[in-house]
Amino acid sequence: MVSKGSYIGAIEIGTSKVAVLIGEVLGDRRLNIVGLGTSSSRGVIKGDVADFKAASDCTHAAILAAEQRAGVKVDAVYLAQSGSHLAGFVHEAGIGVSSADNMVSRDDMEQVMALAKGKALPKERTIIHHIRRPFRLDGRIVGDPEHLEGQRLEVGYWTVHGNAARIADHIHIVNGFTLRVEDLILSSLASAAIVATDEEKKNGVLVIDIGRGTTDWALYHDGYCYLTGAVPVGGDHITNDLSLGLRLTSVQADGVKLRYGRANAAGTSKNEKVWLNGNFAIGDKMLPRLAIDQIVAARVDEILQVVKKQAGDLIRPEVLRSGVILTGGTSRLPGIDEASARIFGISSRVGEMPAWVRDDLRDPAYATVLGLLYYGLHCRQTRATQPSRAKSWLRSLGKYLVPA
Amino acid sequence: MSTEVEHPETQSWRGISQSVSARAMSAPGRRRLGMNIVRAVATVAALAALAALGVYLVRGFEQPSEALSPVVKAEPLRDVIVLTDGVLTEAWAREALGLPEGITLMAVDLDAARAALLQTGQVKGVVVSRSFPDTLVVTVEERVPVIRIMAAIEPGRLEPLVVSRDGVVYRPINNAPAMLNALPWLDGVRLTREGDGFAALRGIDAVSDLLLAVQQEAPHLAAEWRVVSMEEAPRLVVRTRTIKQIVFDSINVRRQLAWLDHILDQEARRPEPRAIERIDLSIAARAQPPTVPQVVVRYVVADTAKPRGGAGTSAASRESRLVRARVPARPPARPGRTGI
Repeated sequence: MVSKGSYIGAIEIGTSKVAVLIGEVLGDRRLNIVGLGTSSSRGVIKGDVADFKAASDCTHAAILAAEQRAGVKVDAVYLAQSGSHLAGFVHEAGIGVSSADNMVSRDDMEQVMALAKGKALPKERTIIHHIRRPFRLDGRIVGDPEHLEGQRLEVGYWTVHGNAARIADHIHIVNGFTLRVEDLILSSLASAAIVATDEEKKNGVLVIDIGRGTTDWALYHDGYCYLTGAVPVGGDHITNDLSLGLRLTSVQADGVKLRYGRANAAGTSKNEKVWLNGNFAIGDKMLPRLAIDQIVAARVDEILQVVKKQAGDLIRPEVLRSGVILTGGTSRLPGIDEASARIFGISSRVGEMPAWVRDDLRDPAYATVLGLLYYGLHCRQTRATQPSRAKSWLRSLGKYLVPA
Repeated sequence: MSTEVEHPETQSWRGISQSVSARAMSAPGRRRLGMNIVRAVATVAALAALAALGVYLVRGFEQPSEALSPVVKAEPLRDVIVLTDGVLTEAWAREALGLPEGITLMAVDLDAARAALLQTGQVKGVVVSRSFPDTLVVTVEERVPVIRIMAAIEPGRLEPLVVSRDGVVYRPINNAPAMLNALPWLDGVRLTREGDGFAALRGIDAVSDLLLAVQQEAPHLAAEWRVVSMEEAPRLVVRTRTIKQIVFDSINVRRQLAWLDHILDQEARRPEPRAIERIDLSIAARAQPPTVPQVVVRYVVADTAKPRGGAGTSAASRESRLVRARVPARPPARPGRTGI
């Protein structure tokens, strides 16, 4: 992340809310969150921009609030990307080791990586990430094959791509505030960066971020991200189901979901009733608790089943030894971890924020935007060792003179 | 992050243009864009001003002196004034400078002009300055000829030159012939080529002191001197019209001159003056106390006494013998004060 001075910015344009965070990088290793701006999202449906102006207005309001709270202006940000248009595929390649002594060289690695990334896409698709899987040298998994002996070197990439026009819509919303998008990050990768540790990723973990309009997930094994996915179903669908099933307005249904909703109907009494508003005013009425729980649990089950289906045969206890981590706003539903454990057949838990995250950001709904900041910090540390100072200086000057 | 996320090189989202029109912006975005434009314009203006200032300063430092000439009123050089303590003239200066016709005063390179004038051996020091609007002033310190020397300018070609007190051998310019003819000749030195001329001689200051002293204290003796030889340096051997060798030491020159005058006076009073071949005054120069007579005089003894002159000298060379004479004691005094 490159922002003005030592500040980095992160933006998540979600279906329910727009969240903007500005962090101050201290010594290239520590991050101090200095600005938070949120606004109710408008013009975004299931992660896609449906009304550019409405989406721009709410996004820019959140950016302005974050900048005012931080007291600084950033000129480039990290942007989370989700949506039903996202897809991915695995492409693998293998070559024979070129040297006579069968020792893998850097050229061999670059050649096989280039081959694995070389698959063309339809014109309307654009690539967001090439996520590399581990190298395999004569079938065995190796982290860095350089200088190892073997005959055949293979590698695979999980390539995430999306519709170019829909991605451009997200980017142009940010550009409309004269900000430049420094990098585009999958929401699932961002969430996983903050709720899953490196150790859990090595052991194997499935991170599921259930938002209001979409559910993003990422599956890690051996420290590498093997799969990602996005399901265009989220908390809004639960609200909609409650609204239809209990004949409530969307606002009422959303209130019932937040107050009484549980993702596991087991153990709920048939006779238990709850008040719609609880204020005994006109229109207040009693609702059967079991019906609420059954509706919520059914939709949660469906979401998790879709994820399970997309992930395929990698959903195995021996692959995911660290289990399933649930995050996102909908993960606050009570019993969702039990539902997940039941469906996936492996241990599940609701993700927790690292200790350094302040209290008002510990809500799972901020997992993605926090992960973006964390990702930005990581990129900054990586880049700090690479470019020459003069080049960075010139690039900064160019950015300063030519605003996005 | 352990995830090996790589940026795609082809069909990347980075190929999406990140520029949007102002109409697609929200009101806060347009305000921010306006501020960015103002900031960019101000930055460019500040950088341009800094660059202009830098160019101005660099040009000011690098401008050659010739380019500054239009700043002052430059007129063609009309006069060359020579201010000298000697005999050099404006004509000499113009010839030595070799300035082209019509050159302006500001176009004269003063350093080059000074170097050209210093090529003349007679010039010891020179200052060249401009006197606006059209006059070049040359202030010269000249060398004074002390003694003459016959030098072989080319094989088989001899030319009389002069030597200054600092040993510089040079061709005299504008010196009066009578003055030059009155100078004795220098002998007993070896001239060494250096460039177009000769290397400076050492020890001429002693010769200069001796000649200056004799001209000041006993001009009647100086008129008789013909050659000063440095063959026995540091002692100086003078040949006069009548005496073949008068040996001087470089110290106490005036005392030696007093003795010489006394000896010659004594001889002149004799009814029959003797021809003198050699007078060695160098012992007297170092005698302590100075009243002790320590002068060795060698006379020429002939069959018949001859008057002082060249004829006697030739006879003496045939029949000379050494006579040590005790010259009557007389306190040496400065010849000028005693009226010798």
